[in-house]
Amino acid sequence: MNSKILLVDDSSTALLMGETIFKEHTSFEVVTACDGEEAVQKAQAEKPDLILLDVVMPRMDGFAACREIRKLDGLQHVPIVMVTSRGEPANVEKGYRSGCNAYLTKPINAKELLEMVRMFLGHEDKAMQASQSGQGSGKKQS
Amino acid sequence: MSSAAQPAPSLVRAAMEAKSVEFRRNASTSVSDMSVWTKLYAANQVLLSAVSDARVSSALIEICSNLLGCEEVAIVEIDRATQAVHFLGEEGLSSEKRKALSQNVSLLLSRIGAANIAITAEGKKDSSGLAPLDISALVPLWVDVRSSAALVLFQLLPQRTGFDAEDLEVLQLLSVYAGPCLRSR
Repeated sequence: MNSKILLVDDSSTALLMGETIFKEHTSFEVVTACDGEEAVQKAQAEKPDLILLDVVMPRMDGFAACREIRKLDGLQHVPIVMVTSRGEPANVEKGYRSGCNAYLTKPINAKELLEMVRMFLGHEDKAMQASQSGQGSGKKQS
Repeated sequence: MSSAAQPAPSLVRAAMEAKSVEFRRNASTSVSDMSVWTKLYAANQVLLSAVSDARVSSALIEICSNLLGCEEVAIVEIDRATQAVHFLGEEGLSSEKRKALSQNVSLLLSRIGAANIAITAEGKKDSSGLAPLDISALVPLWVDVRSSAALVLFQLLPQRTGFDAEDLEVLQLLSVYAGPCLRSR
């Protein structure tokens, strides 16, 4: 079964970029949420294998959402990566205190994002899967 | 940048839809350039959707924040007859920066008229005259008999030291499509 990523951001640009990267280059399943409250609800319902969490969002910010997610059954140890424009040391420290495992600063770089996710979940590349199942040469077809 | 003859919205839409297909295909097949193609695809798609929802200004601000690392942005239109500066959209601007834009109309008009993207880079000689205004980039959007318009990016986020090649591609995309998208409102 493919690993599931919960992608949380109030920006449609950031969500679209993240979804495109994972859909085109990996076999991870992607679920999205647009604010902290929805993130907590989706985390509980979907039980993702990793969460990418924006910080500045309406209704509930990423720090609060991270703390709430950590209280949920089965999600105490799920990797949470904060992805934010707030890269100042004080914010990074606040993120770790909220329970996140890693921090990425915006603007998002596709390669950095993939490397970070693979560090936690390993490789689920489409090309690699096709190669292992003998479906092709390992090169992705568009 | 669009000039006097404004393309029909349907043509702009068709061109952008074709670009989206191209960008998505390249984002899918290229590993080495995946990041820039994904950014171009996301920027193009978000702009395209924003036209339908009549929220192009906010989409541009979101693109600048998420893809370029700039949260101090203005979209200005300058009335050629009155020289008045109208803010079509803005985010994170101090009153000083707003004032600086309104007080430097001639400079803005000359940069917009030059019809290319002006970048001011830290540590490099500035020939655009925009650095004293704390402007990082000025993207001309349109020039016609009635008005001129530009997307103006001020200070970048602290983790950014300047624009890279990927940023320039995104700025180039905005210089082509943001104007027509705004005018189809």
